[in-house]
Amino acid sequence: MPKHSNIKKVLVIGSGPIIIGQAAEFDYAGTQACRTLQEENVEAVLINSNPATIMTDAPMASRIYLEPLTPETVQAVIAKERPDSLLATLGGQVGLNLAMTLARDGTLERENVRLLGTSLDSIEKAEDRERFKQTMEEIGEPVPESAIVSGIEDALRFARSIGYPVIVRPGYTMGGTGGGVAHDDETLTEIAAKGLTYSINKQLLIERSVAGWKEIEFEVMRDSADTCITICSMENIDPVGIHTGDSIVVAPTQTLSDKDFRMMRQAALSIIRELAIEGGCNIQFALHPYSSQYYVIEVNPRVSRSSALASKATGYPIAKVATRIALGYTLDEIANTVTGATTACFEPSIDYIVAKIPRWPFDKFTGAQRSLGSQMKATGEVMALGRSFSSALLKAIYSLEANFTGLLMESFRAIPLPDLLAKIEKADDERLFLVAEALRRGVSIEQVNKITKIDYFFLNEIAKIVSLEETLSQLTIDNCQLSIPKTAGFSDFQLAHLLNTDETVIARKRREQGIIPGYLMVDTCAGEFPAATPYYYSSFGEEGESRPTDADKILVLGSGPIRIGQGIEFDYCSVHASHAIREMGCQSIVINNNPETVSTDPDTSDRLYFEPLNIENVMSVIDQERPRGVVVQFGGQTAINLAKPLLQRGVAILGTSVEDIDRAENREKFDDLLESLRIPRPKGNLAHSHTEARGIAASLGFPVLVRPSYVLGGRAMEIVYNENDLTDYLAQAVRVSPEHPVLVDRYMLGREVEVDAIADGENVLIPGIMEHLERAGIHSGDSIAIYPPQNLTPELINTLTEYTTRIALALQVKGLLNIQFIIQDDQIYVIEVNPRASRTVPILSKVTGIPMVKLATLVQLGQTLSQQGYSGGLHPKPNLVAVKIPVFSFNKLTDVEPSLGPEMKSTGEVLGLADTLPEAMYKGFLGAGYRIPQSGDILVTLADKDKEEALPHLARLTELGFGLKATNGTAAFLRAHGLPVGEVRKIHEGHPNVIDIIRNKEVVFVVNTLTRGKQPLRDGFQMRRMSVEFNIPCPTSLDTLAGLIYAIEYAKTLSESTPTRIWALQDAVAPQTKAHADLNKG
Amino acid sequence: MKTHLCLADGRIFAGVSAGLAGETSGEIVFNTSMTGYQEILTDPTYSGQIIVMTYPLIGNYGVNKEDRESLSISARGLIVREICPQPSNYRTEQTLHRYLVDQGIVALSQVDTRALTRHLRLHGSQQGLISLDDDFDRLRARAAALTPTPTPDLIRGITVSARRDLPENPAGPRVALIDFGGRDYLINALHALGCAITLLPPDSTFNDIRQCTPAGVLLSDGPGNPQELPDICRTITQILAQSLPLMGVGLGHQLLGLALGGRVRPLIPGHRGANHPIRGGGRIHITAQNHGFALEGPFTEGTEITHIHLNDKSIEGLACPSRQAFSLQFVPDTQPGPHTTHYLYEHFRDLLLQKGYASHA
Repeated sequence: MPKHSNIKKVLVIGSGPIIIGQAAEFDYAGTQACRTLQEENVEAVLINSNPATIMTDAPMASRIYLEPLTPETVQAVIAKERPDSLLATLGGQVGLNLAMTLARDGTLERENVRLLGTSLDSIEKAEDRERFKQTMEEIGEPVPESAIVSGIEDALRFARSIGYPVIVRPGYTMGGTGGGVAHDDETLTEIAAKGLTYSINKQLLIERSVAGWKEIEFEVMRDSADTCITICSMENIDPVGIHTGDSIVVAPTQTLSDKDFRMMRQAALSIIRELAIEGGCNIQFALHPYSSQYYVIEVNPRVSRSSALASKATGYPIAKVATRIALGYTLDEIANTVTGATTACFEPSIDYIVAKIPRWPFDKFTGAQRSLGSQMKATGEVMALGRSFSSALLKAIYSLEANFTGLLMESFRAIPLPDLLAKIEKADDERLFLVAEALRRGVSIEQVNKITKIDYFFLNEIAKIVSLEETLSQLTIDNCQLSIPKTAGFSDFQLAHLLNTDETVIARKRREQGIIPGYLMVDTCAGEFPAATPYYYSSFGEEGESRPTDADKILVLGSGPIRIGQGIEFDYCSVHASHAIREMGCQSIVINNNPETVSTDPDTSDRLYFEPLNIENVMSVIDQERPRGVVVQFGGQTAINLAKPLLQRGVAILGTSVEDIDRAENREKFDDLLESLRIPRPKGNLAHSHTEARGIAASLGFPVLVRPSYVLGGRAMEIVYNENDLTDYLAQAVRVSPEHPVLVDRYMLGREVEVDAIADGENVLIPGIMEHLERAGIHSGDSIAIYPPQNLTPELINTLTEYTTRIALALQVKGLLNIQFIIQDDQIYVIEVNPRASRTVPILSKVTGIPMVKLATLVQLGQTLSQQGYSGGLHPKPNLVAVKIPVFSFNKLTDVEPSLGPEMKSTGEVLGLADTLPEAMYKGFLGAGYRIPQSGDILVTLADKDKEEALPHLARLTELGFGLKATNGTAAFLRAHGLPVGEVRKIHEGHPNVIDIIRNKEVVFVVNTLTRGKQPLRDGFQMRRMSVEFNIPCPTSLDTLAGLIYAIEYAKTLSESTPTRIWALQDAVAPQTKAHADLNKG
Repeated sequence: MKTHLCLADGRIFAGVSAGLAGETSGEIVFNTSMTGYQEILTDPTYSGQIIVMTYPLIGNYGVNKEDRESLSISARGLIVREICPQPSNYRTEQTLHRYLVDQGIVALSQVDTRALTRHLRLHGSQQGLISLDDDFDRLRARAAALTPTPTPDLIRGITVSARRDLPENPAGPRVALIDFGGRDYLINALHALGCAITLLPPDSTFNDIRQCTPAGVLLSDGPGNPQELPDICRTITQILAQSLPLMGVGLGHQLLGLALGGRVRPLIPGHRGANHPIRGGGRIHITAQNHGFALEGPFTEGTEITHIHLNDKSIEGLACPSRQAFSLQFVPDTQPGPHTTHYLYEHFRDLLLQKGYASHA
């Protein structure tokens, strides 16, 4: 059936901010959806609160609403735009939930909006636990048996009837508190008794445990003509028990016989058929390792993280095809753009192995429990393709960018064997390496299988890598036949480590021997048809098929996996760089390894190389393609770190020179630069030893800000208040050495401001200045940021502009530049200069209409700003206020400290856009998922240093009709200052205490500021955690509280007759065309 | 042991011996299935062929007695990128390597199968020689001299040599199953439908068929080029003349097409894999296929094209309702592959039971 002719205008719902479990994959899906709608001449209206996405770029849809993803806002967008249809299956769970709400409350019917693709009934069948169970039973697909019980006897009776082990889940507790796996009557009695005390409704869910079974996933598609196909099968190396998002996953399945494979495939197709999905669907199974018994674990009736992975793994663009299916096309009417000759109606066949490894945030959350289970903890993932299991796995490991020497972690050599085995049993993010270490020590594969339930196949493959490592470590560069480890996927870096030589020696030697990788195509069809999509991966020992052209080519380095501190915004920049290169008539080549992103959509570039972003793999691509130069400014620290080694190997780095990058990043050179420019910065120095560090701190006076040089997202950055804390820091957080010095700076409690600029060597264009709501001490990525600045005098703005211009010119910046300033007593200090794209580039590009990445890219290709129609100086501010609010994933990481500091903790962000600050703040908080209270009680516990300053805020809250509750110290202080306050017990003082009143929802938010020093107060920590778990706002800085008060004040002005207004980006910001820019010049 | 594959066009691929060390020759074809190596190896329709698996890791789940399609391997050899030495599956009885050696099959691993596949895609399937000989000139000369095995020779040895009445369902409608090698799936399917079966060798005459008094005739799949089987084509023409219900699959489909006036052309590359999309009967099915020729019209009047291949639009199904005959290029519900085309067997049964010809198109 061709496209439904009555679809003219479609509302697309995005997935909002990046949080754990919902990352860049939905920007990829949404972007593909918007592009497809354009190709089909359907008008797209988009709503998404996440400004760092490609899908929210003005050209992606005719109307873009950067608005909170709430039912009210979507209703308002529908009322204003009058779309005839809604596409909701590409915006993750957020989009799906919104669509369900609007369908159930009658909005869609009332407004005549048709839900495209999968019907509401189908979505509910898949989402509603009971209906799902019933549906599966009807078609004979087994789901794990389960029952809800309210007593121990019932629990035992049910468990005996289905057999052990069983999972116990207490009703309505957070983070699975009080649950567990019971293996017999005795353990069940114990767990059930405990669970019943935790359970709020005094009920327990008892379910058959399939932990340890094989976890198999299928990506399937169905169209309205009931044609069903499977796109990709996947097998988790980590068996059931670890969330698939936290599992190492391979595609296709490796250990299933054809018979079992077909059984699972058949089940997947029956399920998608019965659910009548129109579009894509992800189905997860548990398959018994020693029989063909299986259970259906989960069905996602929408495009998911796994479908992004499956798309990149096979080359089959699931989101694009799902969009066309939603428009009414059938699979056979949709072209397979990869081959250009066949249709989308086929099942991809691949001739390589795909490995996906999650990227966890434990480098940031050093104190967090690293154990993995049913709650996903990873922020991102990497994917690699190889012609052997080992090469796929090893390339995926290198893509994690931790300078991994393959499966070998030297630090594990010291772990005593019993501890090693215990760690393996617990299953954490390092398990793969721990397993390798155990095998290296001679632990049998049988024993590891017994502990981990990881299939023998995978353990054998790991053992093969370990044994090759061991063989190599007995050899030298002279007697080692390099082709063997290279074909197995060993990196030069790893080989250098094993053969006790230098990476460059290995690289030279293997090149001399002609051992270079071939590049093979991802073509959806295992070579059966010629492919038109230039999407490649490397393989040693095989004939390559990438045929470089003579065109003028530019290489863009991507930013790798999404992690805290290096998020989707750098993918946004990489994508724009690629587009700008193509607009200039050059060919763009992208290297990246993140399967979730738009940059790894083969449509984004002329050539995509899915490879680790390390010097070896990047150089190999360069040797193959011979590009004119490399663009390193857009891929975050990952890309910029490669600039120097690339230059050393004779590669042209476009834009700001490597020497100048170094002048910005090397502390001593940077100090000299600022000195010569007479621009102040907080006093401080570089310490190469403990003694030096203590000396510097003493001369500056505490508190001092300490951090390693070359940091990403403030990793290991801390404010240190005394000598003891400094000693602890130096002992625990960093290893200080002459090669790895530590920065010790005076800590200034000022207003933070950041500036992004584009420079061409002559002119410096400053699209905008962003002011942080929170004072220095909170990482810029975690601060609420406001554009344009609200509290800066024209003089200060002039000085900021002038400093920025001076620095950019002095550093001979060609491209982007980001500077962080601190303002104390009207004096401006420079904190740091990043000679690359920053986190705020997407936001400023959107709110100013200046295509910052495009300008910066063209500058790097040789065009000046004036040739592009722009001049220097600060761009005039528009008539709007934009507020960026960070979004955290603390509810997924149950033991992480939610208070903010110099170390970045947020995973994503939203933008609030309005014409006044309070409204923008309100929208921002709403978009970030806060429930903004209008009345109720507030729990306040303050550090002594903050009490005085908090008074006006708390007084204002009292005026607004809120009640205050506090523990005795704070309460006494507030009473003494005339504020009415109720007293609450501290935790050790009995019940009801601070925790109880949060749990019982007796307070609408919590204000808790930290006492000085690092050690979190147990009471405070527990209060903050409890607030996170009950989704109650808990500002830990008075500045954030001030922002929240703005939002509350604004919310009070709202009524049914005057709701919040919604803005389409196209209305708020006029695109900066050349004519516009010329006007600005005058 | 260092071993080489030399194609008839002179291209040489290096590998190491992965089965019986020795020499073999045959038509080099690639298969894109990611699982099912044992089923493919034991599928008699691969007779005369050396199979290149495009998926690089073969043998992961070993080999067992249950999953074989026939007792022995009909293929002449196997070429893979990597063979798994330690398979892992609860049903594994043997490693693939051991099985190949036991079955006397020459196999090659560590071959750049992607490059080989691309070569075959561009230049078509061709004869090739696997040998331990490392004199490339000699290898090339020998490979160039290889000639395709005549189809009757490919079929001989994989079919029944004389009529055989199977004991199951004696009271059911009797089907004369003319066996070109690919009988096993069909026997199972017909038995499940309650049919009685008489197996007939491929050189059966119309008279032989008539003697079993069948309610209908089923032409099985098999290897090779249907044009090399002119006698059976004449027999099929006679069956058509009698309007005896007739179903053809695979090679049988091509034979019916020839009898209906069509021609065959070689496919470059052939259809070999488990992911072939077919449109017909108002639906689209993903089918498993193994054939190197495709039918082309024009056909005699009254012949309908009922199924086409979505990728290359080649003919995948024919029907001649006035003659109660129909055929399919793929074997419905085969292994390895999905099970969605069972209705085609039911259609055949309906014809047998004289329910008249309902269009299955």
